[in-house]
Amino acid sequence: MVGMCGMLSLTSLLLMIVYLFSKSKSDIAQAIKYSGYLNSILLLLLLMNDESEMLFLKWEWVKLGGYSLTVSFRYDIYTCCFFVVALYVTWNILMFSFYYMASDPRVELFCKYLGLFLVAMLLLVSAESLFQLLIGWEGVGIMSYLLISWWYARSDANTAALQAIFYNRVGDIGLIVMLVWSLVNIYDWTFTSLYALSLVNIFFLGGVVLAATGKSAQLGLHPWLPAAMEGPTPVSSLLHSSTMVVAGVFLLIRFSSLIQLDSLIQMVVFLLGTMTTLFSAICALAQNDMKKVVAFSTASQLGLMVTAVGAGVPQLAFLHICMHAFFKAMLFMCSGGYIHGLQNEQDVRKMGGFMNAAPVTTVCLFIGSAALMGTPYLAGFFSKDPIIEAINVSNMNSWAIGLVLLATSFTAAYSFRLLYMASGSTSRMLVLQPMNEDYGNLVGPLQRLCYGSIIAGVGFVYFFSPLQANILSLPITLKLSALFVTVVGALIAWNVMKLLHEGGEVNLNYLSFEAQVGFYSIIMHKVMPKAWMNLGEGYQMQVLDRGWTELVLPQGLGENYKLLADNVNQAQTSLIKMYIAIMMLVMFVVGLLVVNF
Amino acid sequence: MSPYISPLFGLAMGSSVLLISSSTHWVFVWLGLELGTLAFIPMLAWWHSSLEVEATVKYFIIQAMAAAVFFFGGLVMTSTEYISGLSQFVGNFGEVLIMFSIIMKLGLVPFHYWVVDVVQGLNYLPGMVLLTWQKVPGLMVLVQLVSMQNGLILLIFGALSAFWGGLGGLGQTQMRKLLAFSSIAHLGWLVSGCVVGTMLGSMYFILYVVLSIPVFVFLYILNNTHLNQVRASLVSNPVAAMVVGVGFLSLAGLPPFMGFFGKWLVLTWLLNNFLVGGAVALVVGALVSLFYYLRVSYMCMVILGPQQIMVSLSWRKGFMGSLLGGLVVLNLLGLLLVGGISSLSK
Repeated sequence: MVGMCGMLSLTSLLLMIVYLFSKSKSDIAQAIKYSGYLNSILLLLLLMNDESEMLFLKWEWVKLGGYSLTVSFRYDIYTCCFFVVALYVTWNILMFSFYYMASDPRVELFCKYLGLFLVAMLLLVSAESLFQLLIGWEGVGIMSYLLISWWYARSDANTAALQAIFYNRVGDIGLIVMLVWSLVNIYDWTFTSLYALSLVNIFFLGGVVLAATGKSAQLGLHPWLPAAMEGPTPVSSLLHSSTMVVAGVFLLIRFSSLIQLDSLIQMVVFLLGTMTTLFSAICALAQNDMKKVVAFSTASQLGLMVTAVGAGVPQLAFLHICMHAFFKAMLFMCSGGYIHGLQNEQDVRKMGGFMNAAPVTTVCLFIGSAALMGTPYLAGFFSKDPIIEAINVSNMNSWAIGLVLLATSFTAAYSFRLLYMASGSTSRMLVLQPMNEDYGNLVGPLQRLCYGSIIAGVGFVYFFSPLQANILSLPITLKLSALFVTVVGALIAWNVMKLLHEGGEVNLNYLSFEAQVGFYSIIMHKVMPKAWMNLGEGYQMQVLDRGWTELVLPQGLGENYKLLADNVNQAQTSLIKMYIAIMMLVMFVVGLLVVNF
Repeated sequence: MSPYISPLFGLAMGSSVLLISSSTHWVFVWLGLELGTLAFIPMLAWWHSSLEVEATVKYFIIQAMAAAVFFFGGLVMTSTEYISGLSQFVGNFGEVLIMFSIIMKLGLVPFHYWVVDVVQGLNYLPGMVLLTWQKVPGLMVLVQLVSMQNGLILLIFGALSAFWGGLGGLGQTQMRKLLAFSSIAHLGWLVSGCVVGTMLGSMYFILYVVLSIPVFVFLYILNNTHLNQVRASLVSNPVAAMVVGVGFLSLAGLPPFMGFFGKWLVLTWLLNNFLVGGAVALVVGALVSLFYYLRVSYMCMVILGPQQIMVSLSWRKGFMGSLLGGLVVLNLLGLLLVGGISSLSK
């Protein structure tokens, strides 16, 4: 039974790959839709079968002496859920991209890229061998590069794509360290053999954390995520909210049992997540580009997921991945709808009053934001609230816990700020904008994801038995803390916004800490490379390579030998008497020396 | 000149070598040396120009002085044998004197001053014979004199020669002076080889002779006495220019040419006998002389001089037989040759 399910899923994957080569974009969309249905059937069957454990399928691919590379798939609960969620969201995004990229001449290629990305992502999550994980990992990195630089005539898009590649590559170092360590120590690259370890090296776990930091834009390797908003909105909503950036968190979830063995790494993961959450939330408060606000919101939620792994509840992190996919993709699509309607205007300071102009989109924006904030019984609540409860009762750093709560309140703050600026206040847009949402391909996906945001939480929690028992008895203050800070943040934000923008003024301070994203980009991209370059060019090249090392050995010796050669040639006076005199002298002296010794 | 001159004097030079190699008393060795010198002097002045005559006279004076010192050394040697009680004051001063005279004859530092002037004054062919054949008598005597006491002097002089020859040639543009300094440097390597073992010294000498003969001959064919003429020679006679270029690389001691193997074997044997200081000094000297060898090779082979329409292709001059062609080939096939020769030196 379970074998059949696995075969079905793989068949659907293969069919999707086949359909990628087709010419028509609707073919791809259809393939993904039916593959989604197929995989949801698989998931259901897996659930009905009480052994909700994993399944492996393995083909030997290349023999390398003692070890052989295999194509092996692992279908546990994480993989199956993720397949369903990813396929559903991707299908909706594809339909949305038919609307958004309708005027683009290369839209077929775009859909093909999205399909290829999806294949790589599914390979990543279903990988049993670390090598296959690497293939998927690099695949999503490449597709991210190609998709971010979709409008490659724009220099900002190119630099953003390169930035994504660089930061991901730094994270890949961690992945390579992982692979090397496992090859050298346990001669195997499969998860099964890794889970059997009782003691793991800090290098291995450090590699996992580094890889997750790179791919999931944790603090330290985070600038690429806001920069990746240069890509078209479907790209942002698929890659940089739902699917690709959660690959890092997924890796952490897969290795969570090993991370919990090493308390140092667990603490590092926890603190990393905490700092990322807070930092991104602060920066989201000051952004004026709508997509950047949502991007920072994504980064903040990713930090929350990583914090959950660090607090010891990885399955809640996974649940948050699935819920987050729904409402974040929807948030991006709403921004896409606004942007398209405003003729590619993304600045919220030029938006306003869309409650009346685009009601459906605004409603979806509101529901998405509500789900994001953790409004009770919407999708986000079922994952976010337990995470915060788990963090509250863990015995981790209490200052960090406080920061997480602060970040949660900021979530509410920036969501309400966004709502206020975009749809709430007086209209600041140019007068004759063709703001129209009467497109089936816009409203349809929005609606579907909206339903998902509302009932997915209930559905997941109802159907899946938790893998780890949640803590159910808490003091009432801790239990309601998340809700409380959210409400406080929302109220304060709304009122502050009303006060600040009474006269319709906007904030022009672009040099503040939060507007410059903590000055991180400037330091890492400008100041530090300039320092290194100065060291290399100014000191090493000019002083050493062209200066002293040239003078000391090659040129310096040449000058000295020239002087000596002058002396030698001066001795050739061509006077025989001189020669004979010198010879006699030398003979006399050397003869005396020889005789006496 | 009369056609009877060169066979007569050649015979005399040959018989002088035979005399030296077969005599047991130093007087006859002296006789042989003098015979060889005197027979060679007229052949140097073949072309009768003032430059040549001056060089001949200089050569004669130096060689005569060397012979006198030789005789004096012989007398000292004899006297220490027959007058008792003298040897504790004098020691082996006689041998040292004879060695000095040989050094003067060969042209080793610090008795080398005449080599440069003489070779510059002569044309290539007499110069070649001077630098190759006229060393044979001297070397024959030298290898008999080498002993534990004399070895240090020879080593020091050899190392100094290599260095001095290298330095002296750095500023030279006259090809003959360049070759003179190169000969001084090679002589330094040679006597260092002699210090280690006779076979090594003679092997190095044979290699040196074999690879310098094509160089001299082809320079004579090209008629290049100055560095600027070398630069233009690639156009006029490419084959000769290539031979000169390769020959100079070989003289420099670059593998895979033959000159490298001589130097390599000398170094190996020096280090086997733990004479590291001498080896280091020799190598430094070789490194310094590498500069001017490379400069000449570069001019011959690498760069193209200005193409002149008036330059006549000198294809009519003879190549002096296939012997020379064989020598040229030997330069390039040093790898094969030295394998055989190095087994001799064991």
